[in-house]
Amino acid sequence: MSHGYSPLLKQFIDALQCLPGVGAKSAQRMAFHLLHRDRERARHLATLMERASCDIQHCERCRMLTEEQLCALCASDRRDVGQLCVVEIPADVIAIEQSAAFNGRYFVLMGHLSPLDGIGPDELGLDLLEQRFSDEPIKEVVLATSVTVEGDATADIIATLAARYGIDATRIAYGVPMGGELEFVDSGTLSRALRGRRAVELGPAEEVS
Amino acid sequence: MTGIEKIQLQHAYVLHQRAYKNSSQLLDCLTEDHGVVSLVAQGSRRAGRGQRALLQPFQSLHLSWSRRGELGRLTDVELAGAVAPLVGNALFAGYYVNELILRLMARGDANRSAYSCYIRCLAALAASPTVSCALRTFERDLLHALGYGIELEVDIDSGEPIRPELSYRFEMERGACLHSGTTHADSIFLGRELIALRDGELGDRESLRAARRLLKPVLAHYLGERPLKSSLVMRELSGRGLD
Repeated sequence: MSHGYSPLLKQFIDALQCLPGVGAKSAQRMAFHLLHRDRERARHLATLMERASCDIQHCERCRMLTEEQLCALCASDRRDVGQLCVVEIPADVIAIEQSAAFNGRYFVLMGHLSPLDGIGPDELGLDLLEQRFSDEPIKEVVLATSVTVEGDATADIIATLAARYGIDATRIAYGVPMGGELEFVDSGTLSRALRGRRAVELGPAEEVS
Repeated sequence: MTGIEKIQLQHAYVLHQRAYKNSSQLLDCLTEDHGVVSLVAQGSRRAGRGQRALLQPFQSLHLSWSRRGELGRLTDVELAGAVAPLVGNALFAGYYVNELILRLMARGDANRSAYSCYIRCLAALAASPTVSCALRTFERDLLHALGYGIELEVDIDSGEPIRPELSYRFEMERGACLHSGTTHADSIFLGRELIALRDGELGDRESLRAARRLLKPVLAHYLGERPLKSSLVMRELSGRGLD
């Protein structure tokens, strides 16, 4: 593809292909765009990539990506230290924060157990998690890993670890989504929703009339 | 250009899946009539698509796909029946079984007997709390189905039936032959241990351990240098007492 290009340009195009979903053709288009139309932003991008790749590390406590030693959520003193939510990727933390339904702290696994890809407890930082179980006054660990066979297996293992430290483990609920009509829910989800059914909470009885 | 091949409602299992592009998945599946096939499930990770809930490993499925060349495009998924879910130990054993299939079965080898021994193994894993018996039986049957079967009927030198009380030496790609010395090498087995593996009667610890000692080098021989990733993960887990 980049046969006739000068060596540096060719290198540049090849390097862009390290991005997910970017093949030879898109890489070529990106390179031309940056060089031809937008050199200033290309330089800006280069500086930021340089800085980000040097400075952004995992938070010492929760493995979230941050340029500080502790991420903002771990450093904050307004979070409930008794609850710890375990998620797979940094984007999950942001998603849960946006739901505004959780005020504890987090732990980011950076993946889930995946035996066929060689991802086991060591890769998921379970040593660090266990350290936190033993050091912090955690009462409940909320397992918010994805609802797949691998996500469930990951949750099971963390629940086993938590039990050793006398910590309760809870799993996020799953089943029929908000606004979901049963007719359109797939059978797998529906069967889990039925297995995970719960008692209806009745409010205090009120006089209707 | 070759035509598009369309396959309808093929009984299959997902062996392995990984994320592909923004919202798709790449699947390696074991199918009844087409062996191991690779399929792209387009948009299966997008919210609101029920496909992902079905496309889980160890789930009995009916898959439809179309393909031109190696990689197929998944067109339809249906649940083929309820299966008891694998949990704990059995789940990790299941991953090991999946990896064995992926590593040992050639693409496009439509091997029905390998398929049925996979189904038998999943059922055994779901039913029994001890996984090793199911795993050894599966290893033996898979090797047999792929044409690497272990000869345990007769002494390969004399042609005599194997006798429970005698000692035999197991030779790779050949079989068992009478062993007269008194040395205790890893390749020496009692006749009854060989018979137990042959007949799949692996109820007691001794014969299970012997079966593992025999099958491990045979599998390693066909797997080559690269270790199985699922075994490494299982070892990490048992190192933490989590198995």
